[in-house]
Amino acid sequence: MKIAFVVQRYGLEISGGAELHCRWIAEHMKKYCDVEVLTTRAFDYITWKNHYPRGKDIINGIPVKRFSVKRARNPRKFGRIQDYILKNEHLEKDELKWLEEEGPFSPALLKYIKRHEDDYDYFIFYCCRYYHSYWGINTVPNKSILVPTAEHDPVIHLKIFKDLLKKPRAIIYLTEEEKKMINSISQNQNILGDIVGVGIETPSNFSAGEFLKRYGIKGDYIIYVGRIDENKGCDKLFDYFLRFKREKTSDISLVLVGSTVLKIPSHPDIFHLGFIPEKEKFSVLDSALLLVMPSFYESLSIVTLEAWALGKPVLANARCDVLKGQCLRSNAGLYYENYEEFKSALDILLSSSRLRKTMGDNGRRYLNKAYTWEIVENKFLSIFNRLERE
Amino acid sequence: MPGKNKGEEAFEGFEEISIDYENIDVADIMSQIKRKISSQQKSFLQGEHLDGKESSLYPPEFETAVGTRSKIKNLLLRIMRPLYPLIKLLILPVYKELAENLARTTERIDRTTERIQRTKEYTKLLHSLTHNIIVELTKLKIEEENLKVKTRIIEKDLELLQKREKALEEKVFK
Repeated sequence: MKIAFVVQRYGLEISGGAELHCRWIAEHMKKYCDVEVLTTRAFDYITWKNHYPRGKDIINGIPVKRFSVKRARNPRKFGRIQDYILKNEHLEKDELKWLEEEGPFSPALLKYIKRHEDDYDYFIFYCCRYYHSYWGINTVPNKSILVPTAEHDPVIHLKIFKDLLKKPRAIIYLTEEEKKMINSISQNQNILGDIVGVGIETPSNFSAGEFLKRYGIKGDYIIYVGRIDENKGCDKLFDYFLRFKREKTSDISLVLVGSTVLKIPSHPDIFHLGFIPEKEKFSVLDSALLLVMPSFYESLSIVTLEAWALGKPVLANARCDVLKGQCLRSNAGLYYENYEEFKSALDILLSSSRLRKTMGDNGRRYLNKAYTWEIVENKFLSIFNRLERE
Repeated sequence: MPGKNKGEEAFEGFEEISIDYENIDVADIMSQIKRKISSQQKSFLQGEHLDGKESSLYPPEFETAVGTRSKIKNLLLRIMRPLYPLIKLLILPVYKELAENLARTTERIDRTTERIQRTKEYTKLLHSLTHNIIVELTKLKIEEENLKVKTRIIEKDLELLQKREKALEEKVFK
């Protein structure tokens, strides 16, 4: 069996959730079938400018074919079109224009899919909201499997997606909340689908001591890992954290890991470590008291699962259904909708090491039940088998 | 804490929140937190933030001064005594008024948000309704066109039959 993973960006240095999920799944599925990745030359998810060389590449043993992005995204124009379609009555052609502007606009990739349809048994498309998935699924509907990685984003309610979500042969959801949302949007319950998620592995032998000393981090801290962005709720997190410090006179620090597009408040108890290697990330995460996830939109928060793998509780934004649902199902994290709840939940978590430990243990148990590679691989294989039988 | 089960623990400053460690239930903890916050907000609005003490006629700094029994302070206090009600009038009501205003504004914002939300839903429904009506009308129009064409065909068939009938009659009666 030959499978093609079709994704907007692909590379070891790309840490975006969907792209990482795609890489991990591709690397794990190569045991069972011929796997190839079809992607663009883009690295930057805002403009999709060509960055990687054109042609073939091999990453961790997986053949990767890269196609040029014909036109980079103009963020201002894209913003204007998106604003228009979200606020005005519009036609389907407006939505398609929005999709083209959103990109990554790579007609070469679609041409390749069309020409080589017979060379592959299935095409697994990542992220329903991008150009390559929409036109790719429309090109090879009978061989397409979609991993929508959909969030509670207003654009998911566009008419083009309502129709698109009924077209693939199968859909792989990352969480129950995502499945529920997609089913309610497009009424596509009849399409074969399963909630698959991802397997989580933690590196062995890590120690944060030296690393923390280098950054001058002393004492207890809570941690946020991910892109530091307004869309991820980081501005609110800074506001809440500083208010908490003022009101509670707590000596807790906030450690931020990840690249930033937001101005981080200058405060002696806020440390920004930037983008750090995997092993170091696990080290700082392991030394933290808890992980805080302020994001509004998540289709599956891998870092939340990693925190649970290390036995750390989570304090999540309740406005994100996925994070709230995961906290409730795992009993491994508290959540907040406003500052008062943030303050109380953080205070409770900080004041009881027993609660943190018990919640961390719950997180580990939850992870072992659904998020191991064996389970994920079996779920994928079972979907392939069911499609073959059909 | 009375009525607590084995493995349950209450927190310092969160006496009303108890957690059963044998069987942690996040939904239960969150509902306890929400209850606690709403009761705190209620008591804040009702003026219970003064720890349930009957508010004194005099502002705290004056009371402390009385406690020191300093002669000068006592003298000053005596001089200012007629002004106490005025000072209290200036401080407490303004504070209470602010708190009430804040509560009223929050309530108004909540109501407006709810109204906007409802309007949004109605607009979505209306949009979908209009869309469906247009689809149905289009279908009806196509149906009508089909029927018209069918009628025309039947009319022509009928005409032809009539002509045939006439021709046959003519032949028979010749």
